[in-house]
Amino acid sequence: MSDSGGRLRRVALSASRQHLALAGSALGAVGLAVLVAGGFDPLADAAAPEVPPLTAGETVDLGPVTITPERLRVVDELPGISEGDDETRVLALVATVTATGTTTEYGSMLSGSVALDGVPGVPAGGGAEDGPVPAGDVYVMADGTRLDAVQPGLEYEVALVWEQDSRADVPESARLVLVGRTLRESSIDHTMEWLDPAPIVAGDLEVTAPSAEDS
Amino acid sequence: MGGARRVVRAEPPSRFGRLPRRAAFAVLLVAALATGRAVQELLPVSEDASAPFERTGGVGDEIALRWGEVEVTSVEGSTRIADPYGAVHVTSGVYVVVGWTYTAAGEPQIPSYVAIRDTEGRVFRTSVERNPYSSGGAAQPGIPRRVTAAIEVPVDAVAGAELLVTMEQNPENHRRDDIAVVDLGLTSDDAEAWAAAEEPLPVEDPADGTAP
Repeated sequence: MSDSGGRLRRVALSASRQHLALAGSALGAVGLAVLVAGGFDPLADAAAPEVPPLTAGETVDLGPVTITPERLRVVDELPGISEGDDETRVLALVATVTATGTTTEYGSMLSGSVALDGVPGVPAGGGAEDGPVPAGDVYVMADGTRLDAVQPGLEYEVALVWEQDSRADVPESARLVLVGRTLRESSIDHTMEWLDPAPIVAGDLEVTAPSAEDS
Repeated sequence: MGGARRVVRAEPPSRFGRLPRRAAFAVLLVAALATGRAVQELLPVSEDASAPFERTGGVGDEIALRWGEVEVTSVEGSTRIADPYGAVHVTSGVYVVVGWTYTAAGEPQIPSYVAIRDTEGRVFRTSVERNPYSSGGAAQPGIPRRVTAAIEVPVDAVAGAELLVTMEQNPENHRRDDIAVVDLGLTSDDAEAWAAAEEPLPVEDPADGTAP
């Protein structure tokens, strides 16, 4: 008696498991059909969101700093900055930068917030060429020294620089991407930090060669 | 006839008693956590309670701290400095150049956090190149070390500025620790004079011992 009861239970359990599997499959198929009908393509790359266009001379708030990009040029006589050699040339974005907060912001944050996208030969010497390339460094135009700290209340005219492989042509224009950040509480240590970097404006700027500027 | 039988009826189990012990424990645990959270939010625990202990003084005062002693020995200003490598830095504001001595207590120490705070609460920190300061590494206890910090600030930050010095580089780690706060004794006249000065001020490398 007990044996036949156990067999019945096993049969019943097996049947219910099969029904569950069937029901799960059916639900999955229905869900996929709904997603496909809604335009979801699991094989397509996530489309990059469109960012507003960048305009030279317009101030952009990146969060910790504001920046006003002025012009892109090939560096020839900026004091203290490498003027390139046989293998590389230096492209520089001339811009004005101001800290927005009440404490020092460090230069690495600034150089990481300004990138060139799709310029042949940048970065020089190979490396990852997919995606925007952050500036290699930031220099103060007034004295050619490296800007490793942006103090609140001061305005800096700076050159953000990239090395370009000299075998590549000087581009007529280059796509500049500015990356903004949000001040929020870190989920790790609950301190307020500038986090979540994301492009906020992007656009092409003309690249001027030294000879063109002189003329 | 037999006597009346006494029927003893068992008490119905309470609702709580019917709960499995694990479930009851989980409920109690969640209730305890929720109570703790509520109490924490009600208590007046704020940043004030964890603020650093500001040990104050002026130029020439020996300020005693948990980790040693600080004494500001000189304060100068200009629009230019010459760093220890000879590079001249030019600012659109003012470079405040502070010479000071610290003497470690108990064990070798490195004051890693050096900044100027103005009367508006703005904080201007040292860096490696633009705002040069080097501690020279850990100073042995009892041996004074002379150091210099040069920090660029807007002209309107000079009057009433204070020098801040402590061990931990990250301000989040200043909680309940000693921090030296030195009133640099600066006025708007100093600010005006320094904003017009073009002579580069030297930023000296650190050195041990008292000033010659």
